[in-house]
Amino acid sequence: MIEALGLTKEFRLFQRREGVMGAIRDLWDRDYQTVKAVDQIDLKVNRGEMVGYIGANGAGKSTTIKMLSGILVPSSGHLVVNGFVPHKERVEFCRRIGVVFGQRSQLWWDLAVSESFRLLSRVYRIPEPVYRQRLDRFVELLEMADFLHIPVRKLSLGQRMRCELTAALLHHPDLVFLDEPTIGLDVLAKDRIRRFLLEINRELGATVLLTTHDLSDIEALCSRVVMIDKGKIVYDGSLGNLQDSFGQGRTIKVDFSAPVSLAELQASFGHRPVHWETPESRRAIATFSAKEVAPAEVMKILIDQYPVLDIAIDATKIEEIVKEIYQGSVMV
Amino acid sequence: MAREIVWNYLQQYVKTKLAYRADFIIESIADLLYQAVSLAFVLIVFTQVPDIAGWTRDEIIGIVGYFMVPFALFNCLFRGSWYIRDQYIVEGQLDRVLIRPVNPLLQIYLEMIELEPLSGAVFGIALMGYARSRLGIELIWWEPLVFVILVAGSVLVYGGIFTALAATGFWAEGRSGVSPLIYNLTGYGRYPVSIYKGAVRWVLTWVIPFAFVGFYPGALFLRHDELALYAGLTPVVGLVIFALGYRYWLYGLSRYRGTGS
Repeated sequence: MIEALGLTKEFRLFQRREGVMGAIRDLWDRDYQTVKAVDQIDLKVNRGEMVGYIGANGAGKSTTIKMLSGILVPSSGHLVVNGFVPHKERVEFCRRIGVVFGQRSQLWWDLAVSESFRLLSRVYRIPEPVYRQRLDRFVELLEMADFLHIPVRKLSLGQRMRCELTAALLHHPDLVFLDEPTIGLDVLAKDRIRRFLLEINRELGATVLLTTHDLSDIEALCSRVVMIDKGKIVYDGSLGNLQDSFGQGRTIKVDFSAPVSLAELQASFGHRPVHWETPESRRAIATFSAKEVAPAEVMKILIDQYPVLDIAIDATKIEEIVKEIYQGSVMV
Repeated sequence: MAREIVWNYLQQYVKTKLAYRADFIIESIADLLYQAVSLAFVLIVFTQVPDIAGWTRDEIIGIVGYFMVPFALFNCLFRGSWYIRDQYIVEGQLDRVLIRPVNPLLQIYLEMIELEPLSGAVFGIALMGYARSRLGIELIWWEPLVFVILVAGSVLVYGGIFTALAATGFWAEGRSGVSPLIYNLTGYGRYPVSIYKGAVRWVLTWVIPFAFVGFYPGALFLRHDELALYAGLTPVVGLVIFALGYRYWLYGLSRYRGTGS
């Protein structure tokens, strides 16, 4: 469905000089800096897959989606989507895709929702009875009956997003790009949209590429996650494996029946890379990577050598991993 | 098929317009007033002089009348060219347009159609009628047909130039532009280019051919047959200018970089 090889997008940024003299100099002598927003990525997505595409702000997510959907022309690389080179055969290509940009409306601001849908049905040449049938189905699934006659600009964010999804799916596209489809929505609204997407994916077999900041979107919808950082793909696999690759951190909290010193603990673990803290005299916290030290080994040493009352072990949660990735604190 | 899409867009547009009926009427009147003021300026000049470079008051009124028709149609159909830079390129609305299976430029112009300026076209035709009756010119059967063709050519001259100007938005980073400058030049097309000195006349004919949106075709309907060749060139110039403007737009589009987010 999507086949990208060495896909790259470079932007030339104009560096403005400071001050009045700088502005005058800028008139004839311009300083440009080339930035690679997307750098040589390879991506293959099969028909019917639902793929989560994640990365920090500015990592290249939107730029990738815009190249895949034909909005931007790649600087270099090979790209075929749904059998088309998106930016070259735009009109035919667009007929078979659907796009939702959470941050920007695809609908006509002043038109009533139902008028917008009708206009789209003409644009995509959907026969009238088919259109009626599909619209009824979407209205039912997304509970939109109450606001079909209202102009788009008067809708709440949650209502608007349901309309955006309908607008992107009315023509039953083969491929759907969803850029932050749940941004700014409350838990209930998010849940409704997720259930709808699952239902539609099952019904239409559409391929879905989803970007989001909300990992629960991906947990609910995607079997596969692709992660981009500084324009390069740094992870491509299942969500579970993401945890294996990046989520090996463990935290063990131990309560003792008698005071235990930090030096004592450090001595018992010797050369093993376990970091100890003793916030209280009868409590200690160990942090380590499960890749380097087996958690079972740590627990055994503790129980064998110390008067342990209680042990609690935590694995780094996926949310935290992704948060760290978004904050750029995980080295990948 | 494209025709059907155009029709559907128009229908929707008229529906939203009619929701704001008062606005519609006020804007139409404002537009008409603007045209009346520019005409009044011409009439005032003629209270002082009998003719300008051999052109009489009635002839000038006839040419200004012709000019108002393509000018009104341009402001109606190509109004989007004013908004391409700020709303579509800088704000990134072009993203939305580019993912629909209809020619992007056609979508923008259709979305931005404005009906109010059409009052100016009606006014212009009335002025032509007035001038022709004062000059004792009778209607010939082919004139309405030729009028439609020449007006279409004139509108394309405008459309092409302003499409190209809008496309400069793909390069320029700021919001300033040369469009207002060129727009002010359009006024020059409504007076006989023979009143301008050599270089200006040449520019208005062959570089920024605004003489083809007013003077040359307008003169034909005042029986200035010595300019008939130029008048006949109007559709050709229109097609060429629009084709060039469109090519430049396509070139700019390939350099579109979108906005963040």
